[in-house]
Amino acid sequence: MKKKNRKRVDGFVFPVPFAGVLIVIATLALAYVWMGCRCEALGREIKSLEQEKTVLYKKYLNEEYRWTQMKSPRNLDRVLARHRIEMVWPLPSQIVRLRGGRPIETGRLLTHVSQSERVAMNE
Amino acid sequence: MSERGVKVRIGLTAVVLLLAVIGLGVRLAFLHILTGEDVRERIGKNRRVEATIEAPRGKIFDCNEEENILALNLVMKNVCADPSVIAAAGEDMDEMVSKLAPKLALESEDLRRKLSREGSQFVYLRRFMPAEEAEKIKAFGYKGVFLEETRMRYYPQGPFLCHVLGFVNHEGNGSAGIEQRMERYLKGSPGYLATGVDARRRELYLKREQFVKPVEGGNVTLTIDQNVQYMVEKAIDETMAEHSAKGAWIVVQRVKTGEILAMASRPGYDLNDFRHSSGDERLNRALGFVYEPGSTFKALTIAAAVNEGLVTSETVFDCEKGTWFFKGKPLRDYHPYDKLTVADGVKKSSNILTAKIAVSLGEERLYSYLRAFRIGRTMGIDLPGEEAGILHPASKWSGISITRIPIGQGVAVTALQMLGLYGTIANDGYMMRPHIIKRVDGPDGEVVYEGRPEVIGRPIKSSTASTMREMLARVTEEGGTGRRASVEGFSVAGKTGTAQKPVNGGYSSSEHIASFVGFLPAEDPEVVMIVAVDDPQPIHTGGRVAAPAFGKVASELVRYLHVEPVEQKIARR
Repeated sequence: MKKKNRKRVDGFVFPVPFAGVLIVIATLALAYVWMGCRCEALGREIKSLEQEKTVLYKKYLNEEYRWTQMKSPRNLDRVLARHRIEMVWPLPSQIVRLRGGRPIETGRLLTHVSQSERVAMNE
Repeated sequence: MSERGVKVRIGLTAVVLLLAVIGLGVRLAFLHILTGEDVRERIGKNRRVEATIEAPRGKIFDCNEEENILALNLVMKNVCADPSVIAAAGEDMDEMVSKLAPKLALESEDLRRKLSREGSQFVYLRRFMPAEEAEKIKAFGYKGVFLEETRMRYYPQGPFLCHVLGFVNHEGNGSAGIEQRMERYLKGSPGYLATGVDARRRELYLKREQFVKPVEGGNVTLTIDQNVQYMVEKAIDETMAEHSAKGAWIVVQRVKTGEILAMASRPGYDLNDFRHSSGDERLNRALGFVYEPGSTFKALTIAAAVNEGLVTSETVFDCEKGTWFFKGKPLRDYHPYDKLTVADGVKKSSNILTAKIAVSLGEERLYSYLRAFRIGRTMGIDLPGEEAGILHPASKWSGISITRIPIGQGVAVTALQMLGLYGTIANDGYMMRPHIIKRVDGPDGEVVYEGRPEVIGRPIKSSTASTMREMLARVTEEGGTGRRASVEGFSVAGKTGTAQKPVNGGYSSSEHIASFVGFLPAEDPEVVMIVAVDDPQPIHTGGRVAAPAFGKVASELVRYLHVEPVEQKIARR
């Protein structure tokens, strides 16, 4: 009976150092696989971000073009004409220059402006 | 099952597995060792892509820097078709043509011919179409009609500033104007990508072997002001229409720095459709067209004589009642005058007075002043295509050249040279190099090129320039030839010119070049401008054709640039 028991114990004993090596190898293998997957996932993310950037850049270029065209002087003129707004440059007598330094009294300024020649515009 | 049966089964399974492993091993060995080099190369090629990545070309801005873009890159679509697929799909050709032709801006018959081209599997229906419009075509859902992405250089305002900007050819190289001159800054350098791809040719990021990022081209900022340019282009178009002219050109320059604020030339062309423009339309007349300047040239001779101390504004000359014979050849004034002071001679634009002054100056001295004012030499503007004009050396002059060159005959100039002459008078005798490029910024924002004001000569003294300014200011006063160039509240100095065009060794009596060159405010000039009109009909004088255009642009310009009338400036001081 004693002999039988010893045999059984011998059969199930797994060498501890070998088990340790196997665990280390398995851990390394898992880590490698995990890192591989992670790299692939990051690669995919970078790629999709690159594509998104390209799409956004194209959109930006198109918007830039539309904005430039919208605020071009020719287009502004066209829009003003569509709304029947006629803009003219002020006459020299209509220009009031405000200079730095001593502030101009509001009353004086208003008197000056009221005395200046008027041109009927869009009336 | 008996123990023996189990053993046999295990043995058989082991043998099968072993054979399978051996088979796979042999196949692997065959593929890896025995496969030919060419097959391996083919497989490798299919899994790998090497590509050059195009660098975006730099943008071009006006002087307001990043606010106003004059040239940019745009993602466009080519609308393509596969006629074989269209035929196989049995699409209703009539319906297809009627729907697509207006969207593609094509004639119905042309489109039908393209769509039903036999034996063809690819045809462009329309190239370089804005993405939004192209998507509308795709939305019809016709089989065999598809879009292809492409990039192109685009000029948002079409023909606006066409001669200055120039264009980029099909190979992506700048071929005219700023695009050509600043090619090395604008182009950038292409990138490179070597990478592995999957079966659908999509990049496998982890198989990326080499990636060199493309370096964007630099952004060019011009000295041109978009709003001033617009004023000028509007005025030039109105003048062309009003006088049924063959061509016209206007240049506006800052006196103290030489910066070009506007440069327009007609006829023009659409930069986005440069293929359909002629050489004549592409010519920038402001710097590439030489013409006899006529009376605007008189200022040079008079400035030279004043500078030499030979005359003052009050010196009186006998104008021979309209006809003066020199070496047996008559020289006439448009209106006959008896005696005129130099100042009045300038105001009335007397040919005889100018010729007499030139004779007193002498050929050699006159020639040296002509050279000093860069007649017969380029001004050195940073644009391609500048002409030097025509000026023969004094040794080759005929006997009467001394009386003809001072009145702008027998000499040919560009508008830029005339602008240089008047700019020098306006700038106390200092001649500034005209420049149109303000700055080039690299992709990282660093300044890689900067256009700076540069003095290229000083042909006359300050006092001479001042005297000339006073005399030229009288031209736009009542009784002067250029009174239509006057601007309310400002004193304008300038000179009209009406030159007959040379034809077959003589001068045409019906074809003229009318011009006006001037600056303002005359007392403390800020801007100098030239207006020239080629073959205006039926009125052809500089005073009636070019001076009004000058006055119109100048009156808007002073308000836009906040130029103050000199009295106000002095009062403030």
